[in-house]
Amino acid sequence: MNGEMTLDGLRPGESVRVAGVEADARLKMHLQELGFVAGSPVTLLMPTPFGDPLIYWLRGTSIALRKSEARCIRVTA
Amino acid sequence: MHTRDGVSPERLPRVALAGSANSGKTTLFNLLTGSHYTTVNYPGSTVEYALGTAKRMPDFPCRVMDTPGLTSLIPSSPDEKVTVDALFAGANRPDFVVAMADANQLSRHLYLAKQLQETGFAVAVAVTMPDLLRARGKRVNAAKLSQLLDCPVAVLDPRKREGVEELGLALAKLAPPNPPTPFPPRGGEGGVKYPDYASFASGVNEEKVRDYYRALDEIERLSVEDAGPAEEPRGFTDAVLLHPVYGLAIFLAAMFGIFTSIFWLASPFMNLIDAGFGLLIAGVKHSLPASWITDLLADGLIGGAGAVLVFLPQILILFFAMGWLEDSGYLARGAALVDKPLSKIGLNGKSFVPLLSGYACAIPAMMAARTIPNRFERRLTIFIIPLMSCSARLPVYALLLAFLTPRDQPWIGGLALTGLYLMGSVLGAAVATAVSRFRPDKGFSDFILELPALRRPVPRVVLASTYHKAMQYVRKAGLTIIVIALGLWVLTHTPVAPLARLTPPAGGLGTTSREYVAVSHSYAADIGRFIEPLTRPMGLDWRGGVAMICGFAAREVFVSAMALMYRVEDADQKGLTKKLLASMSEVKFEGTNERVFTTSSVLGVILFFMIALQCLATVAVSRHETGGWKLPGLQLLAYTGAAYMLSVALVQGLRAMGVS
Repeated sequence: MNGEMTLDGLRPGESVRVAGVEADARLKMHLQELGFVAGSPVTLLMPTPFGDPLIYWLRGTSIALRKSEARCIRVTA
Repeated sequence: MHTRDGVSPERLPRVALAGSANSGKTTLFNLLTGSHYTTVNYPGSTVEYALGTAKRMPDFPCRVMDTPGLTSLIPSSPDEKVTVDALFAGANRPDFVVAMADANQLSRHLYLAKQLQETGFAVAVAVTMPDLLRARGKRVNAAKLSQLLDCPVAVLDPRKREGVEELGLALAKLAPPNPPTPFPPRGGEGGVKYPDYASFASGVNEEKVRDYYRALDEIERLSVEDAGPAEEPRGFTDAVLLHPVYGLAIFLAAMFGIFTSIFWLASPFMNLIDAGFGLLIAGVKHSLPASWITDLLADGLIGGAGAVLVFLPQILILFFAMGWLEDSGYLARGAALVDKPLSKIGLNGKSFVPLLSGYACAIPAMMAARTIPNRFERRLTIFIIPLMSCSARLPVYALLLAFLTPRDQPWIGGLALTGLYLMGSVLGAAVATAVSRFRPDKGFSDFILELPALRRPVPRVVLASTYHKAMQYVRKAGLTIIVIALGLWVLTHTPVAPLARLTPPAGGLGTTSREYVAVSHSYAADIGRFIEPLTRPMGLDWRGGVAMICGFAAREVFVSAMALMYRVEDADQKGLTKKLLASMSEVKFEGTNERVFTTSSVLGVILFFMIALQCLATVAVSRHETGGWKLPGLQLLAYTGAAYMLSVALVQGLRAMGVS
């Protein structure tokens, strides 16, 4: 898949790289400090049973993010 | 600051442990201090942190501070704010910091270490969970990492009690040779300056975050090396635990298991403690001369302590179960799983653990709410915690349900008890839904949670966390409950009638009757009679009213107060409940033939206990955690007022329908 998409649009098992974060200043800073910085590889592991939040693999750990937060993270294939 | 561990006042250097919630920080702290520590208040605020003396690092004698989980020096929750405050200000700020980092996610966890170094702290890095990294076929080269970070590094595994000496050696490298005693305070004339948080915080920007991670990616790449083949993962995996069908089934089974064990495992122990204190009180009364001092000691002090300790079994069981799930890594999955349903009622997945703790005791539960970043969601969680059926309600429900249900069919009572727990939870959800309509910050909510690796829990670690949470309850609730129990004793025993008048001739009334006579002339009785116009619509006479008032010390005190008010002879605890039940079924309103305890009035009392906020220790903690009287005041008024009105409506409604 080419072009820009956001982290919430991944299929389980799909790996991408972070391109940038678009959110209010607080959330933007927080996500970047957690390691969602440009260039970082991220994989969607699985959704949780109710479909939200989603579980991602980032820098050696699993992180749960709501779709609304995942949508703030731009990624490239 | 008070020290319980008998440390000499000599000022040892202070070392803070800082790191993410899953970095093994508290496990290391408990290991270092042997679980002996004091809690210290951060000046000018309501937060506190643990401080203890390190016993297992001969190379570096020091005081150690545990801090709540932290991912960055820019705090994103009150919990993180506590840590930052504790590090940079106040009398106990540390001389050295140990930055904890999970070996499996070095770049993310070393981010904090980098920040701490930049502020000017002397930092040593503790790399934890080497076993999990080894299972992935890798290991951390400590020497290399130390060189790259330009600070001492120790690889340790506090869960297995390994590597603590190495941490002592690493810290010793930070101190000047032959550190003087007492350790020189920083910030003084000619001394080393304390790190300046303000100038650090003003310099943080996105560019800097990216630079840090660029450097940390390189450091991780160079310091993590291959160490043989990776192991096959064993046991539960997230594919199962978060599976749409199995995941939900496992979650429900875990919750069912926890609540079943609260009901069936805790009650024999609670009865044992109750009976034990009953015997102790009877023993004290028999062996000491009959006087008001004996009564105060026996009924007031020992009785009050019993009221605190009787809840311990349920609290211990619930916290042990939660500690087990937490150490296994499941609790974070549970929080992620329920985030969506909880967000529908204005809460957050992070409300899950506080609400679950609420079934043991509202006090540690409200303190656990600190991890919820959003202010509204945190306050709403604290607001509904008192509706979760805490352990203090169990003895009350047990007594009242035993009155209502046929003795030969105990399962009806069990079913009804489950129903009461469910009703409390449903009511909490309804209140949350209603209150969240007034939410001021729509859309400003997030759920971001690091899920720790799934592991087999270590019993020692689970027991330590159970012990500390239970102690939190004993410390916070204990004193309040005992003080109120003493106050109620005074109210029920004064004005002191002359003993001669109350002591009947030999062969006359027994001990309990003498007490009853005293109570019926006491200030408490005056209050009970004064509020009888209020308790009458609930179907209770003034004696029931006094028992209800006593329930404000701790709900469970209601049971022993009932026994006192309705003249249950003999302190022999074995038959207390049976005798109380028999007595309850005969009590009449004074001067009439009308029975006090009927189906409707007992149902009314149950409803009152389900909703009312009677625990004054909870009110105090609610004020502490929300920083004002607004929320606890609202809880006290709204819950107690609603409880009263609903129970009156229930009693009168049932009576109008012909239910006595």
